[in-house]
Amino acid sequence: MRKRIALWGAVLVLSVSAAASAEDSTTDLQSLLSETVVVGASKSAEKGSTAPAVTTTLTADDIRRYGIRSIDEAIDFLSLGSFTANTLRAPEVGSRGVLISNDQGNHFLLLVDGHAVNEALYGSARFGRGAGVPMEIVDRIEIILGPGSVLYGSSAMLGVVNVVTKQARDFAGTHVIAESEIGKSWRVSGGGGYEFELLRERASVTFQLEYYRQDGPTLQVGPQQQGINSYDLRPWAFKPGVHTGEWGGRASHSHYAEVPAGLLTFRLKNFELRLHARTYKRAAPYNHDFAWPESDFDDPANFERDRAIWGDARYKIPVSAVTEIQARVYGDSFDYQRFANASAAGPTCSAAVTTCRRAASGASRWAGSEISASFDWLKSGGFVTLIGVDGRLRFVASQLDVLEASSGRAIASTDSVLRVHDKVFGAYLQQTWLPARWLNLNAGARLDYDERFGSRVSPRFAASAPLWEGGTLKGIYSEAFRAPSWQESHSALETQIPADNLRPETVRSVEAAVDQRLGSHRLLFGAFRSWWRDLVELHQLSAQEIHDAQLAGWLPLFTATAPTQYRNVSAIDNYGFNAGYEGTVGGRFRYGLNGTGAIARRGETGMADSPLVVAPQLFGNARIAYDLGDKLPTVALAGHYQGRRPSSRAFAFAPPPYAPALVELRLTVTGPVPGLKGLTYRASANYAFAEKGPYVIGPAQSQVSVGARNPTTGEEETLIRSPELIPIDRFRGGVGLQYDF
Amino acid sequence: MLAAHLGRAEEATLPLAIQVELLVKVASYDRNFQQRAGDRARIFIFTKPGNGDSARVAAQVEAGLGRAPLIAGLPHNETVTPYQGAAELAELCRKERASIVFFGPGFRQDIPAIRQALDGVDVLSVSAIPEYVEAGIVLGFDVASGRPELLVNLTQARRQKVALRSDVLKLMKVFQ
Repeated sequence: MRKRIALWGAVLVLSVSAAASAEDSTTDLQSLLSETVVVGASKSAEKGSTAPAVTTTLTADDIRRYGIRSIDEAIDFLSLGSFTANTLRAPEVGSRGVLISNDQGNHFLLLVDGHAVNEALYGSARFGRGAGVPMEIVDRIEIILGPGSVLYGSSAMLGVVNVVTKQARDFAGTHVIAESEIGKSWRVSGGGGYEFELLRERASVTFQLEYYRQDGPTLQVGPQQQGINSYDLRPWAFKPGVHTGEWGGRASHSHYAEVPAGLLTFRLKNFELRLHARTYKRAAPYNHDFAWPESDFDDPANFERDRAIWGDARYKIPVSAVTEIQARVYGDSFDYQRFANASAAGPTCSAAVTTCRRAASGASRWAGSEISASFDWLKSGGFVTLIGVDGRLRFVASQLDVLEASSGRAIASTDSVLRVHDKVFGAYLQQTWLPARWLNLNAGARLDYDERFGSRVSPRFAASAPLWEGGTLKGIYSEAFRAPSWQESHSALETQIPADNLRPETVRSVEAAVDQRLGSHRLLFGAFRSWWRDLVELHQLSAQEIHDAQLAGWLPLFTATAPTQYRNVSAIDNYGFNAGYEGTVGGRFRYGLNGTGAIARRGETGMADSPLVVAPQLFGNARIAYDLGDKLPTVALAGHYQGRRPSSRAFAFAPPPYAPALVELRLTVTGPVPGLKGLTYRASANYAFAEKGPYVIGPAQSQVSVGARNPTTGEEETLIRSPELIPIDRFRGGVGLQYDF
Repeated sequence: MLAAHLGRAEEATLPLAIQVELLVKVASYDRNFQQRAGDRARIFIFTKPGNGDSARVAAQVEAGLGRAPLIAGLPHNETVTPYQGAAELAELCRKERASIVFFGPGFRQDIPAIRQALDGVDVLSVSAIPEYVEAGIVLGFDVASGRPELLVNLTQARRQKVALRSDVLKLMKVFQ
């Protein structure tokens, strides 16, 4: 095995050399021009090869060339070391073999132009269409792998995704876009970039508005047999008045999404103002424990909706050749709603009501300010100190109501009520030092204080050494944490007691990487090891714990469902490698190949270690594109691969279900429309070579249905059920037009 | 101090360390560079009086160039000097046999005059601010789609006797 790896390594290095030598004598210049520029790794623009993290930059050109329509697609088809999984509602994001299923994206920090989007109630961030970030206005997406709390605080455990939008001159003029995935979705968008004089200074506005609508595709799921409902002793009903005990069929009304969104940046001298607003309504035809397993099948009224708006204003003050100060104020508002109609009787929905409507709602609002100062002590960029403080006031709220669906009348007391204000504070220090031409050092730490758990320090030490022409060695030690969301730390239900002294989740990581550039070709290889501790999960209470909770008054004396509590439950040990190879030949042919092999094992006291659900141990992507030149199109083919992986929401199946390996290919053709100046097209066809993804759907989330009754005989029996995995929409074809005025 | 803040209107989008590396490499592709420079490359980095950011950029560029052993195969020296006016600039270029003149931020209003004054002067004018290239500086730097980009004003390059090789021009965004 080792010999084989060494052989492949040698082949790659030789092919890089051969490709570079085949080029003209501007190789040294091309090598520099192929460098990436990242700002997210240390809050200042720097070379990707020497930045204090392994980073990949997904460029606007590649986003258009390869038919990318959202951040999650960019991650899957173009990035190194990260991947996503499609739940049909909001995609989940993982990195280097670790994905925490059902985390709502709260282990990856999402930044839009440096503004942190993850909110406090759930810690959530959306990476799919729901992010509401139109792709045409994106200049690049920086994926910064590994713990990144050193500058950003909570949630940057798997990494940081920094979406950088275009400057007005790079988005100059007015642009209108219309595109459709035929029979499934459509999008219209408009925006522009304008530079003008204001108050005798140069000012600019960049904005884009879009409306995205997805309807379908129709999916065939089930049937799954649920048997007799023990609450009313009738077969389960998954439609109003239809007591068949059967879930599934043709889902033609409950697979949709709708995202109106807008993003605006205004600049005047040293002042910048950014505004972003979006709503994200979506529905998917499955039921699971996370979103109420007994809800009605194919009911379009079962949906989730986010509404988010934020503003971020910043002002830079160059005090002297040594000192620069930046002040920033920001405010965010996020609302979440989830509705589900349930015609099956249950603990909060009596048999007297035909259909109950559950309504969960949450809100998270925060405002804060950040002041940072950088000191270029030697006036050469060789010894720079960055210090900053960031404080914010937050408000979070949530509640759960049960209504009669037909009348909207409340039929139970409002449950899980949370209304709280809090304050969080962070202070960071980063020192960069270039003691020699061949050595860059970066060390820093951030102190975060949260009223719920006290303080937490997240350090990072990184060294990069451009030791030979085009080659850089890099070593990094970093730590990160995630503060438990308010939903984890304080929510309580009739069947869930509030958490007690939750600690933040933590991760430590060491990694090493070598980056070699030859002309416009780049080869990167890195190895990593990380240790995750105190992961927060719902813990099912033991009989003794239930008894204690009942004595304490946290639980009713009689409870039909197994009670739970959020606790620091598990740990993950993770190690592996990343490898990437990309470049251009002759300016027209482009290629890229990224691969990651990772082992990640989840450990819990008293239980055997197990692989992580949804997270593949081997994954990657590859792409090629050829620009036919002049007025001819660019043809591009991109694909990504995820190995076989265990499924989520499979609570008791033997053997546990695995999703098959996934290969997804996308062919995209882009170019100008002949004879119509300013009009360009993009057409793509996407095919997935797998039918199922890594999530169990439907109410059958365990092999045995306890207490079920045979719907025919009415006798109590044990139903043995098979897991059903989430369907994948295998073929998608799309066309789009863009007109640039 | 406030005056210094107000003096800042433009920003270098590409990190200065990369700009310096690119400048050193591009200079070696200028066919007239060695003839212009003679035995030593003389580089003048101009600051805009009252503009703190201009001083900061100039200091970093000076330090960066100072770390380069040779520029286009020649030893070199860098001088940071306050900008006095376009005529004085042209005079200095002729008198001191300047090979490269570098402008940081704060010169937006001065660029048309600089362009005019340097017509016919044998010198490579360079700026950290991308907008200046279209207005009349020969060479500039930008970031496009997350990668460095070289900008060249070809008309002005001809007027200032800067002769970049065609294979290098293919790598640049060209303004005429």
